[in-house]
Amino acid sequence: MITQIFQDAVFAAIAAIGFSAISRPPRKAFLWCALIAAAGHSARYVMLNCGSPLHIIPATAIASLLIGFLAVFAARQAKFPAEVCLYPALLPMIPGIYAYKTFGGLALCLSSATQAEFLRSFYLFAHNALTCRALLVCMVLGATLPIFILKKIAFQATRSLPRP
Amino acid sequence: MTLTTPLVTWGCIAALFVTIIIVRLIRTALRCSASRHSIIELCSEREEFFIPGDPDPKRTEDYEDFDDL
Amino acid sequence: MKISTTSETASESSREIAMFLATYCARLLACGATCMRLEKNASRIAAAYGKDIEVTTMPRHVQISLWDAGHANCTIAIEPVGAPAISFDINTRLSRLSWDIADGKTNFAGARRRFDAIIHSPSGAVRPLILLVVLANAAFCRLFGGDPVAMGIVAVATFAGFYLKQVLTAARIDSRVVVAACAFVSAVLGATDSLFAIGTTPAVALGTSVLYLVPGIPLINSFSDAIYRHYLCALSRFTDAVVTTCCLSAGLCAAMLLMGTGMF
Repeated sequence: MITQIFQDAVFAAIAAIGFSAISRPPRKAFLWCALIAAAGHSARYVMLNCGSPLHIIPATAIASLLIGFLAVFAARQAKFPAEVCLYPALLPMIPGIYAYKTFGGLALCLSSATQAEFLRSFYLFAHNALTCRALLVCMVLGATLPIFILKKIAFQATRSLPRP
Repeated sequence: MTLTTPLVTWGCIAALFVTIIIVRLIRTALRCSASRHSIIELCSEREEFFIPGDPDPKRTEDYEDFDDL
Repeated sequence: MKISTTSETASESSREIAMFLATYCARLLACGATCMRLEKNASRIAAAYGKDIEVTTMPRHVQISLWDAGHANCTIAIEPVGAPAISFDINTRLSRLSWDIADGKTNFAGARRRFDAIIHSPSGAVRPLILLVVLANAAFCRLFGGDPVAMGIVAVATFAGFYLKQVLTAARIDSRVVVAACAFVSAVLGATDSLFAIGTTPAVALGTSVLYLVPGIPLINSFSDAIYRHYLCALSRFTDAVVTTCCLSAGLCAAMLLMGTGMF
C-alpha cells in the first residue's frame, strides 16, 4: 500500500508540473506545485482506498482543504499569490472524465430511439453532470477556505516589506 | 460499421501526423543548414532548457528583482 | 479605451491613473486572476494615489470608476479584456507591482514602465512545454489505472494533439475549432490500444488521451468567483469552460463513432 501511495504522489506531482506549465507559473512555483499536488492527491488516494473508504466527493473536499492550507503556506514562503500553486495543484483532481461523459450522455439522450434508452442515457448524463459539479464545488470550497481564514497571509504574500 | 472504418481513420490520422512531423523536421533541418547552424551543436545549458517563467537574457531589466518575489 | 469624467476640472493625473488602472485590471483578469484579487490589487493602487475605486467586471470588459478624495470628481474608464491567456507569472508580478506602488517603492511613471515590461515579457518556449504536457498526461493515465502501454499511447496521442493545437493556434484558427480538432486527433490515436488490442486498459488510454484539453483553471476560477459573489464573471467563465468542454466532447464523440468504441 505504501508503494501505491508513493506512486500516486509521484504521478500526481508529474501531472501537476505538466499542467501547471500551460498556465505559466513563476519558475519557483513548479516545485511547490509538485509537492502540494503530491500531498493532496496521495491524501485523497488514502481516503478513497484505505480503512473504510470515503466517497470521492468528501475525500476530494478534504484533500482540497489540505492543498489550500499548504498553498497559503507556500505563498508566504515563496512570496507569490496563493492561487499560483493552489490551482495547478488542484488540476490532477479536476473531474475531466466526468465533464466529457456528461456531454457524451447528452449526445446519447438526443440520439436515443426508445424511452428505456433515453432514461438510461439521461441517468448517465445527470449522474456525471452532478458528480462533476459537486466535485468542482467541493474542490473550490475546500481550497478557498484557507484563503478566507488566512486572508492576511494569502493577500500579502507578494508584498516585499520585511514582516514584523 | 465494418472493421475497415476504424483502421482507415486511424491510418489516416497516424499518416498525417507522421507526415507533418517529417515535413517540419526537414524544414527545420533546411533552415538550420541555411543559417549555418548544425542540428546538433554545442551550446549553453540555458539554450537547451527553458522553463516558462525563466528570465529572458535579452530583457534582464524585466526580472531584475524577480528573486525577491 | 473609453474615458469619461463627471467634471471638466478632473485633474489629468486622475485620467492617467484611471487609464492605467483599467489596463491593469484588464490584463490581470486576462491572465487568470480571480475577481477578488482584481478588486484588492486595484483598490490598493488607487488608495496609494489617494483615490477610491469601484471595479465592474463584465464578460469582455472591465470598467473602473475612480473617485477623488471627498468624492467630488469621478473618472470612468473601460478597457476590453482581450483574449484570455492564463499566466500565473504575470499574475504574480502584477500583484507584486500593486504592493510596490502601495508601499511607495515606485512612482507612477516607474509603475507604468514596469507594467509595460511585465505584460510584454516572454511567454515561454514551446518544445519543453509540449514535453511537460506529454509527461503530465501520461502520468494522469497512470493515476486512472492505465498500464505502461496505455501510458505510451496517451503520450503519443497527447503529443500529436498538443502539437496540432500549437500549429492551429499559431494559424489563428478559432479556439473552439482547435479544441474539437485536437480532441478528435488525440482520441483516434488514443484508441490504438482498443484497435490493435495491445494493452490491458484500452478504455483508460482513450479516456485520458484528451484530458489535457479540459479547461481546469477557468472551471476553478468560475467557482471561486461565485464564492465571492461575482456571479456575472463566474457565469461568464463557466460558460467559456462549458463551451470548451462541449467542443472537446464533440471531437471525442466523433472519434469514438469512427473508431467503433463506446464512452460508457
